[in-house]
Amino acid sequence: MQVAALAITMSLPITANMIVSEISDKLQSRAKKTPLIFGAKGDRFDLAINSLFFRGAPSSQISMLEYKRVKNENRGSIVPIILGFTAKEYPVVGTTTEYFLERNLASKSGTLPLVLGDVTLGYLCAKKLNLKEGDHILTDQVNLYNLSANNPVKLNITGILKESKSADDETLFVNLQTSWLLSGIGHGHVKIDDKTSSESILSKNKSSITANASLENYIEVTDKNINSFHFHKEQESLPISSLLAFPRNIKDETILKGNYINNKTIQSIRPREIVNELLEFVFKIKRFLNTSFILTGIAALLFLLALILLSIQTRKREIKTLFLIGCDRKTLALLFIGELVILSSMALLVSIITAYALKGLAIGLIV
Amino acid sequence: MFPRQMENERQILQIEDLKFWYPGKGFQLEISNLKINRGSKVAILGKSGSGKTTLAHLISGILKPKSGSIRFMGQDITDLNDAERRAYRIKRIGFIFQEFELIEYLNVLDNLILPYKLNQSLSLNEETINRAKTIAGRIEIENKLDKYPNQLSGGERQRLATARALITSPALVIADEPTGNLDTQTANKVLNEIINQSSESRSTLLMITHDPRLLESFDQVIDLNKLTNPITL
Repeated sequence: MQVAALAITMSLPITANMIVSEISDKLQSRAKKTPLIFGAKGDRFDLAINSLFFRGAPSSQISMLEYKRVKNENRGSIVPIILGFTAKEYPVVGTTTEYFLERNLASKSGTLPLVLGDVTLGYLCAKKLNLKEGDHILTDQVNLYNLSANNPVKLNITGILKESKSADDETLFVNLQTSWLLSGIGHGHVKIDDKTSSESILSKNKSSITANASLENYIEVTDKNINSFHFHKEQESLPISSLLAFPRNIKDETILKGNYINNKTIQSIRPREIVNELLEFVFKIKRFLNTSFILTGIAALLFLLALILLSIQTRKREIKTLFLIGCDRKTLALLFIGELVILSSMALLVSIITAYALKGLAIGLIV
Repeated sequence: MFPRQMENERQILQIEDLKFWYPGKGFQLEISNLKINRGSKVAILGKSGSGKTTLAHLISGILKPKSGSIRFMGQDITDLNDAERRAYRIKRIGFIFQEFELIEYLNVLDNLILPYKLNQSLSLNEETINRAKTIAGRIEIENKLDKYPNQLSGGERQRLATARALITSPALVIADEPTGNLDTQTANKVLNEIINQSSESRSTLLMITHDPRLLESFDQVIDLNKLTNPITL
């Protein structure tokens, strides 16, 4: 009980410091590896965190046209990403093969998502969902109560990524076309022509045939129906959530960022600056917590002192016996100190184990 | 050999003109002359607060008298410093307590050899362990060496406590009311066990008691109630 009480007292500051340190490391490491992010004007914190960790999607989007403009500046690798979809609650991210090159992500098995309807799973996704290459996964319904929303799509798992110990491990990757399919911009259905059953025709004139709601939309891309999939938008107006930019050098980075400072639709941000701003706030909280932990520490020490005094009081007879048997005061003191050291060490060990367990839980919830 | 020298060698303890008091407590113990023979069984009788335990602590060197001398095997222990008195206590005195005072978190063997574990001046070696095991056999707890005191019966606990006091082969065993809360039959049994073990070790037994029913078994009785002014027993 003494060990448990001490362990709980000690585990709190250890956990808090470990969590702050872990969050700070994770945020900074990912941010440092992503020199620039482009996205629609709006909350820059949202843009940074969503683009780095795939939690949610920015409220506004940019288009393929803007992606091409940035790319045509030819100042490094520009990687588009499309966010906002999930499968089994894991984020489904649409991107190009350049993403995997820039993040040093390699396949553990199978291929990257090259074809419409393909999905490559992050290492932990595959492990936790117990899925492998050749299996299928259904995307989550965007809005369960919106009947007009696009249907879930059955994706073909074509590969599993190697472990990267980053947010990529818990992400499903598809290509851009598949993301647009998920967003409802693209779809596939049976061909409508003069041979189509009249039950599926809403209206018909010389130039066009309009199908009614009974026309079956495909929810799975197969070799047979892949050619029936199409997008109802111009290529350049297709949406992109954000662009990750990996300029060749500092000069390119500076120029690239500078070119979009006054842009009316796009903002360019340096994730490491945003993360540092965020961490400033976190560190302020940490400083406050540290102050309170010093007080907790003093309380713990007083508790320990009370424990020692109580122990001496309750073990008076034992101490007297040991003394009469011939134990000197130094040995007696060493016995008590030794006991205290063992007790404290056990409490420290338990508190570290508790802290690690709590950290694991908290980090999973926060980052 | 002169008669006085012979007498000195026969005596293990000689107290002369001893005075002791606790400051501010209005209590004074005075003994002008007290002699205890080697190998004898001595009872210190007295009411509560009469100074029985104080006398035991003075003899064992825990307390130092204000005046007078306590000669143990010819040596005045009042001349010794703290460390020397501790060494004297370790090597010469064995203690048996009223509630046995076994260390509950140590097993039987560790309780038995505890004086060796606590004192670097006593060497704990294989011979000691073997001797402890022999003693455990003699007091019929040899198959319980790895058990803990709370797993022993009352009799086994008492025998273990007595054996612990005698493990260092002390010249004097001080038993502080070991029969304190026992009925006559059990008290006699406990007393016999202590006397037997002390006799086997050829130790002198000094037993503090307030129970006059047990006095038959002793060679000498020191009644502290009658020590109004310095008296010689």
